[in-house]
Amino acid sequence: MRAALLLLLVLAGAVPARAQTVVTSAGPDKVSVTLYRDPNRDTQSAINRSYPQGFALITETRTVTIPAGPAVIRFEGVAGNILPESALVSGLPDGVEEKNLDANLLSPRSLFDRALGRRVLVRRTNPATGKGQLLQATLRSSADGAAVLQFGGAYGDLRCSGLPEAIVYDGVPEGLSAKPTLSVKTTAKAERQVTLTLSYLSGGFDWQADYVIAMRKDGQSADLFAWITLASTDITSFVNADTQVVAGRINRVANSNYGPRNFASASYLPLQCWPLPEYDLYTRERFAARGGPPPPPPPPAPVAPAMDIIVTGNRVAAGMMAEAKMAIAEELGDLKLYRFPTRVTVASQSQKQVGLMNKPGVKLAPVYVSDIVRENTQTALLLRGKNNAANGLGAAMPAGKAAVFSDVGGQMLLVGESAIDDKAVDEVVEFRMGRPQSVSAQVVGTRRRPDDRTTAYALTVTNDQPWPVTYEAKIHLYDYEKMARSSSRLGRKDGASLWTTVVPANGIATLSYAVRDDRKR
Amino acid sequence: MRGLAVSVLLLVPGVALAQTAPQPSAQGDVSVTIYNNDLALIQDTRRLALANGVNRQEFPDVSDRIRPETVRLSVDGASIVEQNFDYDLLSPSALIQKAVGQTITLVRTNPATGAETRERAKVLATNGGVVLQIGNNIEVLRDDGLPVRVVYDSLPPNLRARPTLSISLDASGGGTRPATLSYLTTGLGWNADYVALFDEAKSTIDVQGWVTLRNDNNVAFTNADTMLVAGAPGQGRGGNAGMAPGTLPGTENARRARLGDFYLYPVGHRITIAPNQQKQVSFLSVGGVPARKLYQYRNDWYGSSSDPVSAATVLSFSSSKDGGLGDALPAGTVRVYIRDAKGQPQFIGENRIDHTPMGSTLAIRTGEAFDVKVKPAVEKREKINSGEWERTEKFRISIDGGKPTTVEREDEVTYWRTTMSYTVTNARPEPVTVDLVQAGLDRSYWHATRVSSESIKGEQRSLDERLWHVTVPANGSTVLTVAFDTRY
Repeated sequence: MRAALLLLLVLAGAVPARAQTVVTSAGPDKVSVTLYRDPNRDTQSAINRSYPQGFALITETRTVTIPAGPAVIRFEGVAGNILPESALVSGLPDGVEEKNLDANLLSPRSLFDRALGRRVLVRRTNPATGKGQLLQATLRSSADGAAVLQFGGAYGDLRCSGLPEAIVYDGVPEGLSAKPTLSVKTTAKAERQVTLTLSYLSGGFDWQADYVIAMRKDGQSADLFAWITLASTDITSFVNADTQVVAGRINRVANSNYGPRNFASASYLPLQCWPLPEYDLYTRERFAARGGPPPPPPPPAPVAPAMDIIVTGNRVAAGMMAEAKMAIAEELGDLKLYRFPTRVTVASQSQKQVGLMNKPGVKLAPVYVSDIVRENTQTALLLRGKNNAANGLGAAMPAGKAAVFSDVGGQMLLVGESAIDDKAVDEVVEFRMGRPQSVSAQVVGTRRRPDDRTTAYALTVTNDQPWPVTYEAKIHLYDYEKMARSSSRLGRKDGASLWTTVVPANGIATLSYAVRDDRKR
Repeated sequence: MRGLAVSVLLLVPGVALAQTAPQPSAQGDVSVTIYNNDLALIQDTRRLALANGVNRQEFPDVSDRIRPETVRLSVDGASIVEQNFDYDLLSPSALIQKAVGQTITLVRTNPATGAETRERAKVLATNGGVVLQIGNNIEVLRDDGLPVRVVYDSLPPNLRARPTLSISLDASGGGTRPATLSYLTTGLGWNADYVALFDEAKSTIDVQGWVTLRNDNNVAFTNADTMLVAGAPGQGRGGNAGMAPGTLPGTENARRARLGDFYLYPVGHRITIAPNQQKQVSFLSVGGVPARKLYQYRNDWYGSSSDPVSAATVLSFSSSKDGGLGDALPAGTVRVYIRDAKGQPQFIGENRIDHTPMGSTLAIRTGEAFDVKVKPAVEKREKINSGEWERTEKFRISIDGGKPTTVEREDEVTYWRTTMSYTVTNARPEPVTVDLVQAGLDRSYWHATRVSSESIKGEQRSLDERLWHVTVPANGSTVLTVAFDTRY
């Protein structure tokens, strides 16, 4: 057996000479990875660590020696989720004639299909004696009708007998490769060593910002730290890579005709037998009844859960974050680019975090906000601050999640989770913390007569905390409604009437207002 | 295991284990014309050796996704009798179905000893199980689960390994002659991929255009004369994606061959299209084309937003001969790159364009601006009297056949006035101009809208859309206020 295997291996390596020289570049000398966030993932959703939907631009520097005359340069070790039409090769002195992605993969199906009409060996093992027997056969069916074989003057099938049988091929057909392979064609005037730059987009990456907000004892300011969290599921690890992330929303095109092909199902070789209802073998009838070929093999098992994204309160308290090296921000057109301070390894199937910003003493004030439509109210607690230098911020804040901690008896405990969209400098940043327990708002409407055009409303806000709180009510009116009067002066915000007040400690605040319906009767 | 290896070499001493060389293709001189809608025309000139009279010719190595009803064969001195496309594939289940009523050989293997015994059996039926007659007994094949091998004496004639095209020809004389087989097939398609490197400081772009063609067939087209048609026959796939809004398509003639009203993009040299291959060939490379960056924002309805919305970043350039790319652009994807602080190109977004005539102005929306945002808000909505009166009713009244009197009623025209504000903010260190569009002005019964006041002079682009160029200072904001009057 060992001898036979050895023989096959030797034969597999013997690739016949082609008209043009094939130069193989095994891997990059230097690589740079720029990650982009999934443009369709909202800020609330976490990175899908099994199937990240963001992408990356990979830029590789490779050194190859190209011969004079026509040559094909094959690039190995590119990302597995490469988008081949995005590939760019620069640095070839005589240009690129064509770029190819060959996806004719070596698989049970392609081996079988290429052997049609050829001689193969069929190995039968006697189940009683364990003795192997090799028979010469000729394949007579293609992979779509597998498998009918000719043994001398007789014809038969494969494995329908219930006996162990296998096809042994005499070599690897030309043109089948282990992985989809990117190659370029060029014709150089003279042999020379060149340094090429290969860049391409690849799926299977994602990143986001993760904000850690530690509220200070005054309740009006916080220490804000942010991580860049990135994830990769690509089969290729990018070792010692210059790493960048790009913040901002990028437009992507859905490739209807040119999406990644399902290589797994195209590699599957179904063996068919005659109708055999009681036995678990594929038959043509059962195939049709199930509406198609058997499903492709299951996707690789999801990655074991990696480190939790939330950084624990103890680490916040330990002051570790102040020591983290921060990414360097730069402008990239209308986007923001963050360059990692040192080269890192963007490893396969892993998640990595690097410091994004560290802003101690940020003014971030809690505000309770209600949205009111007639008698319906929805109240939330926000942490609000303006993104400027005076407030201790003043840097672009990429979209991401936030975890808010508060000091309770010397321990930092999680008090809420939130998320923000991309926030530019001078924008108001609001971390929405969800429904509050201690402040609630209630609206009751009354009409003097049932058909009265005017409705009087009373808004009552209660606070059970031993300190006063800032409160805002946004009163939304229908197009045909008009604010007739109110007990306090109302402002405008986001197309709604705005009431701002302070609810006293363990107290109540009230507003009465009236709305007139202007519709024709 | 070692024993097996020995028996391998002993049992088949004559088998030559060798690298599998490719089988020569039966194709002749091939030309491939690929359309955009997963459609291609294959023309394959082969040499046929025909005898005088009726000949049956098989055509192997046609594409596996051939549309057989589109096959056409042109050959001198022969007429077509019939054309067949056989797709009854050879498989174990097809074999046994065709063996109904015939006799096969069963080889039973004793699981304890491995001894083989042979017997003849007649296949009676294959409905949900193979019913066999062995001597005078009737049984179902492998009903006991024990190993039984079925051996056939021959293969039925109509079963084939692959779908096969065969044509019967009536030749008026013997001899070898060229014959051109042409057919349509799916599984071949193409589009364009553009790479645009934008230099913001110089306001220029360098553009490379690649045609990307893909073969999902298992058949190679070797040394094929390849032609790409920018069009999808039979499908109205025309569109204006990528065209700048408010501009007309270009009217310049690109120096390329045409087919009907489609442009042809020849590949330039013969290429080999391998099975399951995606291939890219360059067709355009221009540098230093003027381009500018725009910011666009569009509000589709009179609505408020509680969070500011980023304006779109748009790259605008021309496909004209003068100051543009100078070519008709086949449909595809434009990917835009910009150099970072270290000079390395970084991707900043992509978008699709449709077939674009030469001389057009393009506007490619690449993404959203981080620092330029718009926050629309409905400030006020009120009912107003215009001071205009219109006749709403007119009656002619005649009492008991007397002289008719005319009564008219006039009502004051009332409008609903919606006052919108658009707060445009800019966190960039330079001033920007945002092309702000309010749409939805002519939707259903809302039409007859007029703009009664606006803080910046706008331009009415169509009945439905009004456009303002809002200039915002560096690190500042500008508020545009507009009042729209509608009748209802």
